[in-house]
Amino acid sequence: MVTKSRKPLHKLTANVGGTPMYLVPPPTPAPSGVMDLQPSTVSKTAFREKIWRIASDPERFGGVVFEDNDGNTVTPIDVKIAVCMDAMEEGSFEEALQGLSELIRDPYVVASESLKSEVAFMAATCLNRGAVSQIRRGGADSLQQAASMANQAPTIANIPQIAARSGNIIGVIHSLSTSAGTRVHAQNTFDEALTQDPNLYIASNNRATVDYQEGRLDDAHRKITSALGHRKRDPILKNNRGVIRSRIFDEIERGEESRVGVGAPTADAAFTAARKDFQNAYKFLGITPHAGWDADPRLLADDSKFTGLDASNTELFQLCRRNHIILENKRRPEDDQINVPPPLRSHVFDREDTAEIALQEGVGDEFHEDVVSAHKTEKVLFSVVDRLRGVEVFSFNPVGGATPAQGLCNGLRRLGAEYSGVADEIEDSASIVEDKRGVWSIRGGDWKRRGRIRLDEQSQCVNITVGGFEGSFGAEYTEGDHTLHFYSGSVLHANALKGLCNAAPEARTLEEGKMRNAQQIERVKGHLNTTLKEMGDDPARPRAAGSNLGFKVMGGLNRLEINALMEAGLSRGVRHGLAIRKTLELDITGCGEFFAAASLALKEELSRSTPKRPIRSPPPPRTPLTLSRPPTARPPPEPLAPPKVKPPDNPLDVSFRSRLAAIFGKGKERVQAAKAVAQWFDGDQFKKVAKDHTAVAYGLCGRMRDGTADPHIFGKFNDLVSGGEDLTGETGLTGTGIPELEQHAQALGLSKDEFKEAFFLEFAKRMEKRYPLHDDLVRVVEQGDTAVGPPYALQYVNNFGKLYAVFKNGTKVMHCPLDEQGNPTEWVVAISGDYERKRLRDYIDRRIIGHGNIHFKGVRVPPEWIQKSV
Amino acid sequence: MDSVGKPLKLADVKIIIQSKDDKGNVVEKVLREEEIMALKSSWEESDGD
Repeated sequence: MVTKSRKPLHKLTANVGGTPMYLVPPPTPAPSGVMDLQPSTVSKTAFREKIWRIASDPERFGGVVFEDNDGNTVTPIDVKIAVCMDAMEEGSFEEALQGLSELIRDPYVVASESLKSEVAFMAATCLNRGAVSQIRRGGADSLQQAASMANQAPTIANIPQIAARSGNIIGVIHSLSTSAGTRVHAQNTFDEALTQDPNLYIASNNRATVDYQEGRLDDAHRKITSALGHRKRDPILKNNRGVIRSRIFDEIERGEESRVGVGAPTADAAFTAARKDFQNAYKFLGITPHAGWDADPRLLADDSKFTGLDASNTELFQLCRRNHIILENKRRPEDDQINVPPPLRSHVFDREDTAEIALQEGVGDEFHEDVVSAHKTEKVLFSVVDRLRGVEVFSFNPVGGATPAQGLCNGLRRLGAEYSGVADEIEDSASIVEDKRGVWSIRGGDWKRRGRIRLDEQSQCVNITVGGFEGSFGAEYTEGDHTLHFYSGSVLHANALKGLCNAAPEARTLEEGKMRNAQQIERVKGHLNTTLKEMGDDPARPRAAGSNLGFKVMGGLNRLEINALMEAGLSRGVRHGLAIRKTLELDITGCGEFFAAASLALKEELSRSTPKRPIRSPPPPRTPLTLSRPPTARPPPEPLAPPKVKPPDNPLDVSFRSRLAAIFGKGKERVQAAKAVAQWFDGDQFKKVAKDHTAVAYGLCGRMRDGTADPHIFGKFNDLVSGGEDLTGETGLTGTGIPELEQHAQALGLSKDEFKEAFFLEFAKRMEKRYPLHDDLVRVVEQGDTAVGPPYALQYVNNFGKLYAVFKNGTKVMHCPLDEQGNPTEWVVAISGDYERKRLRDYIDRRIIGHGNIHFKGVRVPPEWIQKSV
Repeated sequence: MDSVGKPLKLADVKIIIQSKDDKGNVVEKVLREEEIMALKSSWEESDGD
């Protein structure tokens, strides 16, 4: 097959010298109009056969491996697909079909929807291209075989693009007949093809040809113009429109405007338009018309060498020139020695590379890209599943101890040879950059993801952050016998997408595909909405909720945007759904790499150091998480034991101090403040701590060094020391130090001890009543069945009269707005800092003490997780 | 991670075979066309014996 590249044409066109050129020596002409189905490429065929055999059993050939030019490992299946593609591009359609028919029975292909789609698409394309080659061979047998092949194609890959191309070929076979009845068949077939794929310009062209033959010039003109809308620079189409316009000009000249149709142009307009088409055809063939061009003997000479075109384009040029001369001569009746109907060219006959062009430039290519993309992504997903077999991944929030990216990859290699490929792939296939904070950036190909992996040796857990989404949720994904623990977002993501992926390619027709998509999108939406609802999706914060579902990796789309995107895409048909799938799955791919690396690093780290505590036994087997599975309901929380509230008998005892410390929390400044206050109450230490009066004042007046004064506690203190009278202005009590407090004591006529006791008792009474404190306030939510529940420890304290919750180590508080009754409405946790992870594990009892709703970075914990405090 | 979307061409596939050098290090070699054609499977080799 002579393959014509558009590039040389462009080069020729760019040379505006105006004379015929010899820039490209003409290739060896192919046998005129005949394509040999078995080209004499014995060595190439043998080479492909050899590659095929090696790919069928690489181990038997010394364990060879396949790589592409970028150093990426290539699977044997991909190699075989490449072999088939190579044969097909060479025109060895039977060889390609033989390979594809073997491939389509391959168990690996059978197991993969996307691979099946890809192979079927190739086979169908191969059949169509084989049919075209048969048509070129000519003869009744060849046409029969061509029809048979073209008819088979849609049954192998029932997608509109294939069906449209097959229909076009069948239509061309019909149109070969001179009978009017068969032309009607051809016309209908082209119409059906255009219904399947309105972008199929060759069908538009061929339909225009039929219209032209039938004398429907206006219809023909519309169709050919439509075809040119898809391929503006195609010389065949330009020639054909020139012919149609020539005929229009001819009819008008003869006074037969009625045959042209409604809105007939003037003769001059038709002539100019037709001439322009022919000139454009020359131009796109690489020949620039110039003044007197049509009289140029070289152009008129019937010698292809003057044009510098290959055989097929020379033929096209000659045809175009002939039609043009007819037009020009009709303009000059005195030279009317040529008066034959100008021929049109049926596209499928004239360019053997039609199918190839369609693959390279047409819609079919887009579909193919989708299929290939999905196939590659699916492979990555499967490989991630393979890598993570038996490995439990816990996702935690950032903790100290960043693990270098390189260390992770090295760790993977130390785990065993089977993991070295994973490490290589991570290192080689993407550019990994690690900054000082241990943040990874992985870039590769046309996707970019950022992530962070940290390892917490103490808790033996890995924290993963991907795409700005901090891993806060655990979930599971079951593949065969293996269960993976993923982010909930990723699992939802994956399942939703798997559902979407599976819907479209299995459909037998476009309508069925749309129906399946509609059903699927409803399931996906239902699942997403259910989960969002359970997570307390707040309409005011869709972006945060979306982020926590893992959708932020999609570029910050919120839930509504995602739904709209999916719905809009799927409602427009299979291809758009696939395109969206491609976009989404790349994100999963990115996540998968992180999971793989992180989990294996964890394993490596654990094997290196003997853990002080045994690793928790793996959770009991869970039901695989699927799209249709309703989120597993968490077991109702155990009723919280009544708080052991016990007003202190002696405010100066140790428990008082520890309780005071608990009130203040565990921040450095808070501890300091708590100590100071305790010591201040402790008479013996009064003078000693006086020097640190600032801390005492801060503590008592509810003001931290960061300047966040707490008017509530300040007011309480004011009430306390003043007996309800506002002494602020009078005493100048601004919380700046002990002298003021002493003044207050004196003003109240109390000794220091009396003041202290009164203060504490009143303080404790009010606070304990309102916000009971007890020793077992730490409650932990473990990553749970419903894919919600980060292992956060919560301890809430009535710090300064306003409800706060602190993590066990007291690093960060959560702000808690109060309602009119002073009850907390919701808790918002600011997550950062260290946790005592080992202790958390001990305290896991799936309960959180709280009031109302609790937010973790904007995600509301389901109400059943929350037990109202007594 | 290679960019997606373009089908792999046979001309872009490299066949690599691993062997060990004198020091026992694993050495990778990209096979040329004639070396690929000369590559024999273990069955073929045993047949040859």
